[in-house]
Amino acid sequence: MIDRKGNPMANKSDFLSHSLFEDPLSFPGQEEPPPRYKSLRRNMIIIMILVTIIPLFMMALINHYQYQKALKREIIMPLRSIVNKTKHSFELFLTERLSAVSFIASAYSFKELADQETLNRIFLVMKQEFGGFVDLGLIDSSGLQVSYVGPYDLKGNIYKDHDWFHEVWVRGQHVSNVFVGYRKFPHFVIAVKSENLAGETWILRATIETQQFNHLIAAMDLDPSSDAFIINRAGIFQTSSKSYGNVLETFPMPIPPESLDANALEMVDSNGRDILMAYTHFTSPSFILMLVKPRSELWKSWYTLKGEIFFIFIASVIVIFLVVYKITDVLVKRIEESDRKRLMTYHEAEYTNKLASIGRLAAGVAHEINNPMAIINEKAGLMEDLIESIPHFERRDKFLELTQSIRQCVGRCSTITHRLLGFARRMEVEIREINLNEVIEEVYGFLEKEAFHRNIEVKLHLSRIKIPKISSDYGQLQQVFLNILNNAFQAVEDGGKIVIATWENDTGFVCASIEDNGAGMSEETRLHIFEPFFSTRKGYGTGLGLSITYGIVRKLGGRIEVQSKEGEGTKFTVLLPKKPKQATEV
Amino acid sequence: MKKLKVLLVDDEEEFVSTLAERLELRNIETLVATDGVQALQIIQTDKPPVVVLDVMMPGIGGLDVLQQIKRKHPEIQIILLTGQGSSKDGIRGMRMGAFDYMIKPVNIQDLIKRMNEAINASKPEEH
Amino acid sequence: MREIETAFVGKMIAGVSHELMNVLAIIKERSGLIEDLLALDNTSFPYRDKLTKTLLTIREQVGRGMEISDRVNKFAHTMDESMVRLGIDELLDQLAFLMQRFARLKKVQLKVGPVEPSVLIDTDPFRLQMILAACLEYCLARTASQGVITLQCQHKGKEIAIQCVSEPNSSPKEDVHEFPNLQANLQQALDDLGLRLLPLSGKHQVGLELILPTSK
Repeated sequence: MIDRKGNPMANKSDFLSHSLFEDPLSFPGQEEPPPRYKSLRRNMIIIMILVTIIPLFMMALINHYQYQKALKREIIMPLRSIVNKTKHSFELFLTERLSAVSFIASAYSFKELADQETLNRIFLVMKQEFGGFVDLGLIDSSGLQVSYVGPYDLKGNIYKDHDWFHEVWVRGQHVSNVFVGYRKFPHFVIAVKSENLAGETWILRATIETQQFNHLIAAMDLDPSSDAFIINRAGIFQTSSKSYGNVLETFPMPIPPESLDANALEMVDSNGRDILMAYTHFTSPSFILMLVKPRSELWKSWYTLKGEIFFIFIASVIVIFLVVYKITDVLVKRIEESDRKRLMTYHEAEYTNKLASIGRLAAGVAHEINNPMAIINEKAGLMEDLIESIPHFERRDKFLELTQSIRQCVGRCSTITHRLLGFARRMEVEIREINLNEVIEEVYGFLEKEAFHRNIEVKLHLSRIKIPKISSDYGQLQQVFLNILNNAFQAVEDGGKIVIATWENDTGFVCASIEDNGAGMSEETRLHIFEPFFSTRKGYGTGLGLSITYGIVRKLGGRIEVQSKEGEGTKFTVLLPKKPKQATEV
Repeated sequence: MKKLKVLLVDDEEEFVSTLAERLELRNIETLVATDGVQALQIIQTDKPPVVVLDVMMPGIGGLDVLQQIKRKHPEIQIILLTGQGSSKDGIRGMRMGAFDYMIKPVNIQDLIKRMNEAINASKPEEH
Repeated sequence: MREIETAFVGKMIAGVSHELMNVLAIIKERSGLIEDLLALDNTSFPYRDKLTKTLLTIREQVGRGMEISDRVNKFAHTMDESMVRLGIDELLDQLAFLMQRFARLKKVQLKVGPVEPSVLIDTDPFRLQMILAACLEYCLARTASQGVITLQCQHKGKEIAIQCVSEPNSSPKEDVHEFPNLQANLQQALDDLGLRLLPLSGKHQVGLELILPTSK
């Protein structure tokens, strides 16, 4: 090639335009050590577990708190509601009684109330209409008990200096705390001041038993574990508590802060139990209604739920662990498998490449031999020419014999290098659709001359019915049949017979047989015939021909069979698949 | 018969000179070149009807020389000499216009026979 | 399994070189005999000198052929074992021979720089040759006609560097881009043998350096 300026450019010879060493799969493969997969597995498991468990955990946590809050509300609200309602009931009760006493105090005159009989009658009616009254009494403005109906003997008592008296006098009404009264039962007192138009004032006082309180509390309809009671602001029980004390005893725990609306506290009680205390302060009198429920009771449903959440969480975690581990295992195994296959393919390619490179190098070097050989050939030829032209040369025949011999040697060298080149070519595989008959005809063509010279009859029974084309490598097929046919030629005597046939068998293989009527081989020989370096012809070749042939056929996915009888002949049968097997076998 | 004239082109000096000598002994006028450039020069001046050309040569390869000869002097017949493994080149050469190819080492009788065939192929009909 | 197959190929090629050697020997004998007969003959006849000269040439060419055979044989034997102690001088010599033909076709001269015979390495000779051949081919493809490529060896501490460099101003273009391709192709073999491959830079020059550990 010449560039534009007319200077010779570097010539691209066939050898160099396609690099000897190009690798179709060019990735720097390294033998992957197992640790890589261990750490891959570990990382995958860790990540998957983190990604699944952390949200699950957070959700469980959030749910936990949300539920807790919701449940609290759910549990507490009713309690507060009950407490409120009860408080209203109480207040209603007290207001009713107060109204009753107040009404009587205003409806009747001092004189009427001072009259014992009238007071009796009023008291009876009061008792009938409103439950719980124990006594009734009239006290004048000086604090003197003027009249009295009841179980005590209070007529004539002076209450002038009593606190309640002062309170009533100033406030107009008074509801007392609970005290131990008649028959050691708890009572409380309502006193109301009344004033007539003349400006006279008197106080009407009634005692009520707290039995009613208990009724009201009972009406709350609480479960057995609940404890509802009333204390006053000083901490004295006004009704009995189931667990903390009886009426008029001291409430063993600190008084909760003032709250006119129902409130709820979680605390530990004096017995060390976790409790929920709902309470509310009365406006008047200064009572506190308390409802105590043990935590365990309250939170029973919560604990159940919590237990369930926990159980589900743990179960999920276990399932996740198992699944993640299993999936990772399967995945990593697949990755390992495909990596191995890839590496094998790479090695396969590298190896094929390497063989091809060897082949080409060897071939390149073999070419080098050709040059000296060609020279020797010409030189010997020249000598022949010269000697032939000398008249009456004494040693003419001898010399010509020698020069001929030299030229024969050159011919032999050609054959040898030809074989080497064929071998090199074989290492480059090129698959295409091939008609086996063509291959055989061509191979026969190589040996046609020899057959003619040695008078060997060669019959070609090539299937006229179209045998299917096979996907294979032309060069290698050539090698195979050349080798077998060569062997046949070696085996027969001059004048012998060789028959070549092709056909398709019933399992879809394309078959070719080469049969000779030569020396045949013993059973012993027949069994070893394909072994490398096993040769019956001393000094001929390298003993590798048939083993190579066997190897080629195997690589192409086919089989070779041999039948032989000593003294009668040998038959080689080659069976080839229509498509070559994928080379994954090592 | 007119004396046959041929140009031999091969980078291996010993070979090409000996072959030339042998051809001369057979009364064939032989010109010799050891590379493509030299060959083209000789063709310009001497105009041999037949050229025997080695395919595998360093520098300008045989096939390039073939192309150039055919371009400038299409009437010149060319016989290619190839090594054992390069018969592909021979076939390619024929597609590029070579008359024939032969594989080294060649039999001199065959070569002469082929050269005569080549000359007859290009000779116009003699009246 | 691959090892066996490589060894098998080696045997095949060795076998071929043996046969060639045998044939060459026969040629040598025959031509020697002609020489002897000529020497014995006292008569004068035309072409005597010519014949003698021709026989000499034949002897030379036989020698040439034998050398080539011998080299092919040595090359084939490098496939026998995968761990061998060899001298760098031998190695480079062999390599130059293997690639000689390709260099000649490109009209590039291949030189082997002086190497002390005592420099030894333990390695897989065949695979190392393959690697060096690939490197040499790489350089060859980037060296212009009439150029010179030198194979040489340098000590670098505990390591040896085999260098393949073209003469300055003998490369038509600078391209370091294709080096990674070469390296990737050879990576497996480089790793297996514990070698490093580096590009050498220079003005209009192409070069590669292969670092090997010396044998202990």
